[in-house]
Amino acid sequence: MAIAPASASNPATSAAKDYDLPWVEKYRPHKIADIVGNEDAVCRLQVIARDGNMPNLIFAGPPGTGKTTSILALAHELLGANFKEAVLELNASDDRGIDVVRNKIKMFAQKKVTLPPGRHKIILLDEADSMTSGAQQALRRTMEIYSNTTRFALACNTSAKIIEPIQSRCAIVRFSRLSDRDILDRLLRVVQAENVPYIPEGLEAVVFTADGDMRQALNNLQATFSGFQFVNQENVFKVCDQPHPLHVINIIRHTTGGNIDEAYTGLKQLYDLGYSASDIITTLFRVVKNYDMPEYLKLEYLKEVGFAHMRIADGVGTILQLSGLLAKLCIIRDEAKAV
Amino acid sequence: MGKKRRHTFIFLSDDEDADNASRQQPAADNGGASQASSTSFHSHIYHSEKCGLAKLENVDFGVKCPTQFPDLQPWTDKYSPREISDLVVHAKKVADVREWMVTTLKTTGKPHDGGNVLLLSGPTGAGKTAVVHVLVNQFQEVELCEWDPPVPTLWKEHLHVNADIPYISKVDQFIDFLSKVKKYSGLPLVRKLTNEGNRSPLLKSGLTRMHKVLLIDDLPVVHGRELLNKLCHCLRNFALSVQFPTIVIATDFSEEEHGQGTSFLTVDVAEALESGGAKKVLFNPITANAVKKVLNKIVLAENCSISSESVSFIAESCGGDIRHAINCLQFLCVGFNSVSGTWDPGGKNILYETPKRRRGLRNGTRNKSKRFIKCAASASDHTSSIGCRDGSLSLFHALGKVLHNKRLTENDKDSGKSNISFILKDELQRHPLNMEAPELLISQAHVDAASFLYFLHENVLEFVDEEGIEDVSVAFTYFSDVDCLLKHKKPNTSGILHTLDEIDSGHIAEAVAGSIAARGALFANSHPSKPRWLSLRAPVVRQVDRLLNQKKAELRAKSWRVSIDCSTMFTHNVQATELEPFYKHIGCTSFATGQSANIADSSLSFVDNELNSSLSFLQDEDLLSNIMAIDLSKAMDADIMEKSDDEIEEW
Repeated sequence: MAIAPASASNPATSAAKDYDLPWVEKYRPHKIADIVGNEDAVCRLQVIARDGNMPNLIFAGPPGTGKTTSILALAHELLGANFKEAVLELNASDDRGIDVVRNKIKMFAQKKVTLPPGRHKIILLDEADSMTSGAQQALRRTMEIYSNTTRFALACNTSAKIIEPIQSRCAIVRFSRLSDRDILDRLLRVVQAENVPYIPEGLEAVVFTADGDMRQALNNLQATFSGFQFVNQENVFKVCDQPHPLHVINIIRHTTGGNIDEAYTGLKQLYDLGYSASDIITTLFRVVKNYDMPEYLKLEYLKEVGFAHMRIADGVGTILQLSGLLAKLCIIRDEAKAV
Repeated sequence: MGKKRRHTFIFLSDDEDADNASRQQPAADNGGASQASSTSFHSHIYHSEKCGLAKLENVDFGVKCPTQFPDLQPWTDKYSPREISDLVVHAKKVADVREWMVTTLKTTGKPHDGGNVLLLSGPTGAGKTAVVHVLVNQFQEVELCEWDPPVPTLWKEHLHVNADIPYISKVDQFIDFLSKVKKYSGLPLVRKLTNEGNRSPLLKSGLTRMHKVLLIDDLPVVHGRELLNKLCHCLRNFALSVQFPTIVIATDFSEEEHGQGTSFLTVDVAEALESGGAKKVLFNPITANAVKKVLNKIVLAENCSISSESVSFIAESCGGDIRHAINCLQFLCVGFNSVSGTWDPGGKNILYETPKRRRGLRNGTRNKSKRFIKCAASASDHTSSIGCRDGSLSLFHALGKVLHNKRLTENDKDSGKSNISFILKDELQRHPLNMEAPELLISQAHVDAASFLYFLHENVLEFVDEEGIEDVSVAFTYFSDVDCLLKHKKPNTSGILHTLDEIDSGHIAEAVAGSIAARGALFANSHPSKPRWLSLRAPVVRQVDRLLNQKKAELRAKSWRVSIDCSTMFTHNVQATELEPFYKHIGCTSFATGQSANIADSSLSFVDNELNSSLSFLQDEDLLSNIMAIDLSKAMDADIMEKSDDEIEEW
């Protein structure tokens, strides 16, 4: 039910399937109940959508976790047909300087709209962390004075970028990265709706590359589909241009076995394929994080990967660093081994 | 308060019936109209009179709509304090403000200099505005007027639409307002008579007898030194000459993390006003206990079933910001009031019924520890998605898990054996963890790796047994590694060039650091202390950092003035160790002449030269030095510049 395409509003899209919207937009949930993950927050939002009286809210969380979707869905459910006139939506691409805040937002707050009881006009400020602190300060009083008729919903990646007086006037709703399970569920539904040919490993690869970001997952899936018409591991990693994790897993397995030679051969192959050191180290980190190994080894491995990443981020992105890392991993293994 | 007249003035009302013709409709399409009206200050002042509520608009609306739909108001308005006894601000501060009001109200009208301005400063949500509103309501015949900045014209619109009306900056408008208020203090500030016409004759006579208290809550935002100086200058003059009591509210907040440098606003405004004879009352954050009391009262009044643990968690983690605490509470209660089908109101049942949560609790040995985990877990059950300002609610949950270090003791050691072909040394083996993956914990805790590390560092000692002192050393080795990783990340992220790659690399570094911190603590702690009630402390490192930053900001604000014309900045070290003592010294010797600021400032630039000689020089002839100093400081600038050049070369 969630996956009903947004064809009602836009019939052209379903007709011309090939050039339709990005899937991210097409399958953006329109009801709060359809939002994936963060059950706790979503549950509360549902209640608010039903009962009205939305408090001022700040949605904070990493990208692709459903902040904007929640805000829009909430506004739609609260206001229904009044959405057009009772919602002011501003995001980072709009002019949001201090004058706009003073003028547009204040004008809107003063505007008279007849709404059912318990409903308020809503001002949506997406990507609020990119607002200057001056603009945020100008918002401060407006928020308070018009609280009887107008409520604010802000979305941002880090709530620390919102000045304290604004934070103080809002309840903060935090979104965390989506679990792989949640993403996979949603991908499966999209795949069904779009009739995408796939193998399970392909979807697994999409989930791996997305790293908890639903937007990226859908984009990668669509890119793979439109590029190769078939979703399998190879294609996904080709599209996303990341080193194949299986390859990297092999390297790690060789180091835990103490085979520095084999591990190095694997690394050399990857490097020769043209992946940069930082690509490789990023994949290495994700693989080590999820690799099943004793606690001590994992800790030490992570530490070494961390330091190697630090050097690479500093600009020393040579194969030397990576092979040094492999050697260190082997040493760790040897030292930890019971005699 | 029995016979209060209910004629409150509504400044703005887009609610159904409260609206009427007298309201000045700001011209939405024609920016010029609103612009024109803004120049006369009368239309933008509204006042409340002896109303029972702190927020004036509540009174009027309270009669009309919100009573029918009681949930229409946010709780922060609904439960705003009405009586002095409702206030949770420290009694002495309230008394201070009250005393100021009494004395100034006595003397209003009679010409005297200064003392008519009260400056309230403090962090956000400390109850500054509430105190003012409540106290004003206590006095008969006192009305509160506020400055409400007019809706400005957009810069663009104004270029196209109305070329004849000049663009007026906010600061200019404000300054204009101040000067007009000062001049025409005898006039009634309010023009916006609401409702029935028969009120107006009564009002006129009433108004003349009324004492006015002006409340300035919305100081305009200033950018740049020049405007700020202008504003400060104006405020100072205002404070010197205003004839009726005025309260200025300045909210402190650190802009440090906002990445836009420090705001000099509050510091400088405070200085300017104080030099104009204003009295300053500093509000402190509200104590956790007081916040808790208020929250409990609200919980009772709203009849929501929220666990007392959650309430105290909110109270403790809001950082003294009572408004935020109430907002949090309201959002938290949303789930409990009405949804019982989809939502388990107790929260604790979840703990025992879902298999995922059960594990940690079953093998708790003592009652106390059980309670701790339970309350931590239940609190985070409710609140993992709504953090308070620093998200510390869920942070405690994650910390508790990592520090208590629950493991499945009955299982074999080291679950991951299948993947490796050898056996680890005995001392490196651990029982499998009985919790979610540490990485997941951190991501759910909504903290950055740095604060997680600091919290662990602060608290880990308590959770290791007496015999495990070696464990602590192991843990701290890992912590220092993490710190190294984190510190390294910084220049990357704060740099000007933000390529996509760099952001990504910061993300990875953060993830690695957090993961090592948590795993390091888990691994190292091989002798976890007996489960017992242990309270978690906030890291001292943070406080030190904050103090350091504060001090730096202060110093920078001072050095601004010094270096405003010499374009040289001293390093903090030089300033704190050499300039400050000197500044103090000459400050106290020359205070008598009342020119300390100038002299000290300009003489600051000499310090590098010969401290002693200039000191005696200053002591001898204050006045002369004042003049000389300006010249000399220019000359010295060259020296300093050279010096800093040298320093650069050394690098």
